[in-house]
Order: sequence, then structure tokens, then C-alpha cells
Amino acid sequence: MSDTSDVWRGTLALMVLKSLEMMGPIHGYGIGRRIEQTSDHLLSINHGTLYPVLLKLEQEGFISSEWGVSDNNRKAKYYRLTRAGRKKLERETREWERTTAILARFLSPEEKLS
Amino acid sequence: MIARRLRAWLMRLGGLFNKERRDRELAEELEAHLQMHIEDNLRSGMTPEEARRDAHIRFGGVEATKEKYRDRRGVPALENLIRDLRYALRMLRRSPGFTTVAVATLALGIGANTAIFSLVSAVLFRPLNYSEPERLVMVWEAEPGAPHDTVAVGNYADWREQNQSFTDITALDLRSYNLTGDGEPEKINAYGVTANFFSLLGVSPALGRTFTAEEDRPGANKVAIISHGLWQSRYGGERSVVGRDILLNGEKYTVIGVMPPDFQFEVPALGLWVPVAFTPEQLNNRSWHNLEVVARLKPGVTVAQANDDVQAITRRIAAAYPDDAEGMSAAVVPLHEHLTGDVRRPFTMLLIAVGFVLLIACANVAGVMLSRAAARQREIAVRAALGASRWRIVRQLLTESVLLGGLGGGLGLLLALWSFAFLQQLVPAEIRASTTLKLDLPVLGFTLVVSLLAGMIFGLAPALQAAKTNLNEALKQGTSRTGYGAAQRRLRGAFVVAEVALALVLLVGAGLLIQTLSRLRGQYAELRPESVLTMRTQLVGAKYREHGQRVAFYDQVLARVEHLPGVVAAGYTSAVPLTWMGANGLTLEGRQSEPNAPWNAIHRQVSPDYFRAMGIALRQGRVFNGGDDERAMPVAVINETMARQFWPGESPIGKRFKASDLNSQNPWLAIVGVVADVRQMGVDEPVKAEMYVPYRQAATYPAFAPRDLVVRASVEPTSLVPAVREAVHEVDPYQPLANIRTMSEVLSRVTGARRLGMILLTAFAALALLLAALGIYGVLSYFVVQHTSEIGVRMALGAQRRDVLRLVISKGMRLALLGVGLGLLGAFMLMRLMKSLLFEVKATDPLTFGLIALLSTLVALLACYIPARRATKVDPIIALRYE
Repeated sequence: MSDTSDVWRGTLALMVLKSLEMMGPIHGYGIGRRIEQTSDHLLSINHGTLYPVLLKLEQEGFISSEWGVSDNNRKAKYYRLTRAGRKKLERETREWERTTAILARFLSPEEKLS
Repeated sequence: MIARRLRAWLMRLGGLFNKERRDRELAEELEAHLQMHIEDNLRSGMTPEEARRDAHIRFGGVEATKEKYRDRRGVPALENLIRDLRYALRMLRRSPGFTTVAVATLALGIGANTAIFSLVSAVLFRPLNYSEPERLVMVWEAEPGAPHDTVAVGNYADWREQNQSFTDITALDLRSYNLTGDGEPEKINAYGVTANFFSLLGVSPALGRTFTAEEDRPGANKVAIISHGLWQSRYGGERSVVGRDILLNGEKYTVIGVMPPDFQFEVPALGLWVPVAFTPEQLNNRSWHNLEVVARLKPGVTVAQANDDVQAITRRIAAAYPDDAEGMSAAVVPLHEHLTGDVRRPFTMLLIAVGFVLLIACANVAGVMLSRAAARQREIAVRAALGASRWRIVRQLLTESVLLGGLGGGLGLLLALWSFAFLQQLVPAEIRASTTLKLDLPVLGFTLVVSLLAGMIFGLAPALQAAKTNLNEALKQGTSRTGYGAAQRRLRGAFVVAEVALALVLLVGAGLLIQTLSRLRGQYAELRPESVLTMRTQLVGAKYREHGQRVAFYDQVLARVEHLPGVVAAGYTSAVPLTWMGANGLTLEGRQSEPNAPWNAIHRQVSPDYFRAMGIALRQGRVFNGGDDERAMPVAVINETMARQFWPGESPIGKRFKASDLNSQNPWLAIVGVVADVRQMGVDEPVKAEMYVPYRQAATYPAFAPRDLVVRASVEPTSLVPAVREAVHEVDPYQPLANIRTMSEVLSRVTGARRLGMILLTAFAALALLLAALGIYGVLSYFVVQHTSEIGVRMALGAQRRDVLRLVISKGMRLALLGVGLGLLGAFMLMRLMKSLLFEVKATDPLTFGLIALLSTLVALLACYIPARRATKVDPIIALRYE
């Protein structure tokens, strides 16, 4: 996947929010792994690009962060979804589904024929 | 969504603080990320080397991530600005000499602008403090040659009845009362006003109430409203003054109200208002023009429409009463214009002047900045080499200059604040009580804008020049021998030329005003006004109704005052020159005036010694003496203008005239003497024909009865005040003394605004010249430093001290003379705007232009000489080694 693809850049925030919803409080590395695994490694992102996105979401109040200790006793910063973030996730999910549905109909063979 | 954005921005602003902790935490977070990744990789069987490599590749650049994160965390533009500001502060602190001079220069320039702008804003822009002041207008009668004349009661009444344009209209009659009974007798200026006066202006009293319509009728109970000033000075601010009875000209009035301190209508230091209470006869009078008329426009009616309306009514009046009103018209003028119209031009002049001063200050600082930029070429080149864009460098340098502008502006505000006490005197007296100079929002905004603009103006050229620095050249050159190129040199030269030109324009303006003022005061120099004391004793009431009673008072007062130690001469006159002017028609024996140009002359009743006391020289014949009394032949003394006007080429002595028309019972007056002219009304108004009669013989002209006592002193005149006051009170203990001042003060009141304008303009011009001289000095000093080795070589090759002097001076003088030339041209074009401020001096007065050009050249020469002399001290050996 191209790093600069606008579509993917816009959806990275959504993926982060979804990952946090699925996994509960987790650190940046965990989020990166989860995105790779969920996409079946079709989507490989530079983990570094996650951090500005996390900062932006935190500044906007959709997620919060605190220092914690990882499974293997390492100090790491854990992110969690806020109520506002949960609402945003619901909203964005709905919008995304609608968009894909429209696009799917648009790109379906019948559409091409008519 | 907007709330979210705002929150994000606030967080980002918060991100500007505590940067080190945040950076540390980010580093830890990323380090933890990598370590976790490496550990996972190790678990999946990679070698440590591979694990590490893979984690780093998958992460992308750590530093790039940090950079992006930081941009997102804070506000990069703001951070750059803060960094630039810090750097600029450091640079300014490193050269305290430059910084001090630049900030001081700018503070003077910006301070002068702020001060004058505060004045202009307070006087011209701020609304008058009446309710809806933009709808208030003055309504005047007008005649050819007298566009704004006071109004006859009958005409006012017609306007009031017939106009379609005003919601309300009021009339004011200026008068004065002797206030007695409850303390020292005091002469009080007062307005007789119609009952609606206060409500028309939309002002209310601080205490009590205003007049009712019933009180504004003849025969009603007499009531008065007093001013805050009188309330404080005479009644100690006691609230119980409302309801108290006071004596005005011996009649009882009840005080019903006190006005607030900032209420003023036109006349400064007015003491009270009484109902004007027009009688039916007055309401039909069309020949005694003594009212000021103020009206409030109906909403939506323009001044022009109101003017047409009043004109139409006035045309009907003129047609109906040709005896009194033939050729009369009217004029409606906005009140604000009426009150401040006179200062518009002088204020504009001052604004232009301070604008020039600021431009010169900017040019000066820009000049120094240019040479500083040259000295900093290496620093700039290094920054460019490290990747700073040209825009980034320009921005850095501009930050420095805007910072300087800001510092200068801050200091300038203080200067302006400090100048307010002085500038307050420039506020027209008619609105002084209600006008305070202050640093309000418009003024602060103005200062901010001017400071920033100044910073841009003097910073931009040097910054652009510096940013053009040729990297290779600058880095190759040694640290010590950087200079600037031809472009910078030309620019700096242009600055100096502009400075000299601007300063010269200001100097010419100041020179013309100085000459005007000295000619104005010169009108009175012969009187030696500084040793003349004057005061007013207005005789009113029953005990002075008869001529004989008044004469007895004058005689006794003069007899006492004349013998006081320190008194050279004492006299009485109707009014001292410059304060009042009453004239009457003339009939010359055996001659007929042209029908349309009746003869008249100013009328003064005087005591015999008045001429000596005032210092008016005798030209022909004699002045009055004790023998010119009630039983003697009626006589008159006339001024030179009257002699020339009516008896050109012959001696007027022995000629006879009547101070009235031919058929009146008034006696023929025989001319016994001619005295020197004294300007009667204004320092810049032409002398009019004037007649003097001895007060003993003047029983038939009570309106011109003497009021002003004139005392010529051989000691400091004001030191005589207690003794003179005592002498007057020995004659009449209830007689108030008013207008106690020297003739010089009378003169200063008339020339006051001009004098202050002149002082300010002169100060600004001097400042401008000083700055321009500093500019020349700066350029040449720099030139000498730059050319030390060249001068050394020349001297080693045998150049004389004189040659070096000539080299440097001619360099500076070329610029200065170009500036002088351009300045003369500019002054020639601009001074025409000043014409109305001048008196007996042409706006293009060659003498002023010549002298100022000479003065500027000499100052420039001095500014050139100092660095030139330093150049001659160059030791060739050291200079060459320096190379």
C-alpha cells in the first residue's frame, strides 16, 4: 500500500479507534500489530505514522492515555477510548458502511451495463 | 465539532510548554515500542541483529516520526516566532549601544505620533458629549463678508415658528453678572438660555433640575443653574446650595440646579445659566443681533436640507423687513464643525509633521540596520548554508526590527502620556472641559499599528538586502572585512537624502510660523505689554445708573491707584485692546458718506492717562487732560488709521464729527490729537478707525462706559494686584474685580494656539534636524571605518590631512545638498497648505527658505566634519597592517 494514499490516511484514525474498542486499553505497538493482523498483513503501515494520529485523537478528546506496564514488565503508554471516541467510532462506522455500500453498487456489474 | 477543534488548538497551545518533559516521554514511548517489537521478533526466531533491523524498518524513521509528532503537538509557526523573538532579543542585548539608540529614536518618533494622534482623536474624532451630537447644528445669520453672525431675537422667533427641519431650537445670550452678597464680589459669565436648552442638548444637571417653560417668561420668579466650577469655588460643593438665593447684579435669584463638571457649551469657565425670558418687544427686535442659536435636526434631515429650509424663511424675513434685514441670509453649520473647525488645519499640520519625524526616525534606524546587516553577513551566510530559506532569514531579521518597533512604541506611549498635560492646552477652549486626552482603544490601536509599520518600514529594506547575501563570497571573506555592496550604499545614501529633505520641510514650516508669531507679537511690542496690568471693574446696578456716579468711581480709583508705589501711570478705558470692540456710526462735519458705505469707528471712552498707561504714542496734537471735563468743549482723539481714512493728506486736528447720525442731539466732537494705531480685535485683523473720548464728556454713550483699569508698573505688574484691589475696595467694597492679568497674557490668549503650534512644530523640526544629522554622521562614520585602509594608503602615498577631509566631507555633503534641494522643492509645494496659519509672511518667503537651507547645510557640515576628522587621524602604518 502506498504510504500517501489519501483513502488509507483518512481511515487510519478509524482503524485506531476500532482497535481500541476491540482490545481495550493498549499501547501504540499493540495497535500497530492489531491493524496488521486484522488486515491479514495486506496492510502494512509504518508504525511511526501511528503516533501523530494518536496525538491528534488525544488532542481532540477521543482517546486518553496513561503510563502503564506491559505484559513483559515494560513501561509503556496505554491508550483508551473515551465516550466521545466511542460515539465518533459509531458515527464514522455508519458513514463508512454507507460509503462502501454506495461505491459497491456503483462499481457492480449491473451498474456498468445500464 | 468546532468545540473539538478549539479543544485541539488549546491542547496544541499547551504543547508549547513543558517541551522537554514531553520530548522525553515521547522518546520513552517510542523506545518501548521498538523494544516490544524486537522482543516479539526474537520470539519468532530472528537473530538479534535481524530483529533489530526489522523493528526499525517497520517503524519508519524515528527522528522523522518525532518531528511530525512535534509539529502536531505544538503550533510550529508560533514556535518559530517565539524562537525568532528569543534570538532577536539575544541579538539586541548583545549590542546595547545600537539597541538604545534605535529604541530611543523610535520612541521619540512613535511617541510624538501617539501624542498628536491622541489630541486629534480626542478633538476631531470623539463625539461631543451631548446626546446624539451629530444632529446638533448652529444656525447663524449671514451677510456678505460675515458668514456666521449672531442672531436677532425676532429672526430666531421666526425660525422657531416656521422651520420644518428641527425637532427643537434654542437661543443663548452671553452676558455677565456681578455676584455679590455671599462672599467676595465676583464677575460671572453667564448664558441666558431658553428653557429647552438643556433638554435639547440632552444633558441633565448633577443636582436639582433645569428650567421650566413658566420660568422662561418675563416677570417670572428669577432662577439660576450654576456650573460645577462655580459650585466648587464659591459654595464649596455644598449640596444645600440648591434652593439658596443669590444676588446677581443686585437682584435675587434662586439656585435650582448644578451642572456636572464635564458639561460645557462653548464658553469656558462659564458660571451660570438663567432663563433668557424674551419680552414681546424683544421677540420683535430685528436690529440687535446678540443670540447664538442651536438646533437639533429631525432624524433623517441633512444639514443641507435644514440650510435650505432656514434660507427660505430668512429670505421672507429679508423681504418683509428691508430696513433691518436687507440682503440677509442664513447658515446652518454642524456643531462639531463650529467648535473644532479652527483647529482642523493646524492639527493636520502637526500630524504631517510628526509623520515626517517618524519617517526620519525610521530612515535613521534603517540606515544603521543596513550596516549591522552587513556586519552580520557571515552569520546570515552560515544560516543560509545550514538550510534556512531566504524567506526564513528575512523573517528572522524582520522579527528583530518589529521587536525594536514594539519596544520603541512602548516607550513612546509613556512619552505621549507624559505630554498630555501640555497638549491639553491645544484643545479648543470651547470643548476643553469635556475633552480629556487619554490612551484609549483607538490611540493604543494607532500606536500598535504605527509601531509594527515602523518596524516593517525600517526593517524590510535591510532584511531583503541581507537575505541576498552571496553565500560563497560571504563565507570566503574573513570575519573582519565585510562591507556592503553598491546597492546597500545607494540605499543608505537615499535614506540620508530623504531624511535631510523631510527635516528641511519641517524646518521651513517652523520658520514660517516663528516669523508669523514674532510679527504678531511685534504688533504690540511698542506697548511693552509685559509691564501693563489690567483688570475689569464693571459698574452695574442702581448705584451706578447716573453718569456722575460712574465718573466719581473712576476718579477716586484712579487717584488712589496712581499714587501706589510702583505705578507709573493708571488709566481707564472701555476695554483693553484685543478683548472687546464696540463701534458707532460717524458724521463728519460738512461731508456726506456714500449711501452703501456708512462711516464708523471703534469707540473707546478713556481717562486722560490711559494713553500713557497703555503705552500708546501721541503722533499729533495732544491727548486729553484734566481740563477736558463736562463743562469744556467736547473733544476726541483719533488713531492714525482714522486720520488717514477720513482726512488723507491733511491734518485732522480741529476737524469736527459726531459719533452718531447728523440729526442726533449728540454734540460735535473736535479732534485734538492723533495717536498710534493699536490692533483692536485680533493680532491678525487689520486696524480699524478708532476714536477716543474723555469719559467725563461721554454721558450720552453709556454702552461704552469704561470697564477696564490699566496700570503701567515699574515693578513686576502682578505684584501690584493686592494694592490695586484694596484701592478699588476702598472706593466700593462690593465691586468685583475680574480678568486680572497682564497685557502680555491678554496677547498670549489671542496668539495662544498659534504659539503652542509653533512650539510643537519647532520642537519636531529640531528633532528632525538632529535625527538627520545623526543619519549623516552614521553613514560617514561607517564609510570611514570601511575605508580605513584606503585612506591609509592615500596618506602613505602623500595625501594631506586636507585631502582626506575633503574626500570624506564631499561624500557626505553630496547627499546633504541633494536632500536640501529636494527639501526646498517639497517645502515649496507643501507650505501653500499653511497659508491660512501665516501672518504677513509669504508661504514661499525667500528669506526663511534661504536661512533654513543655510542652517541645514551648516548642521550637515558639522555632522560630516566629525567623522572626517577621525579619518585624518588614521595612522597609515596601522591601517595597512590591518589589511
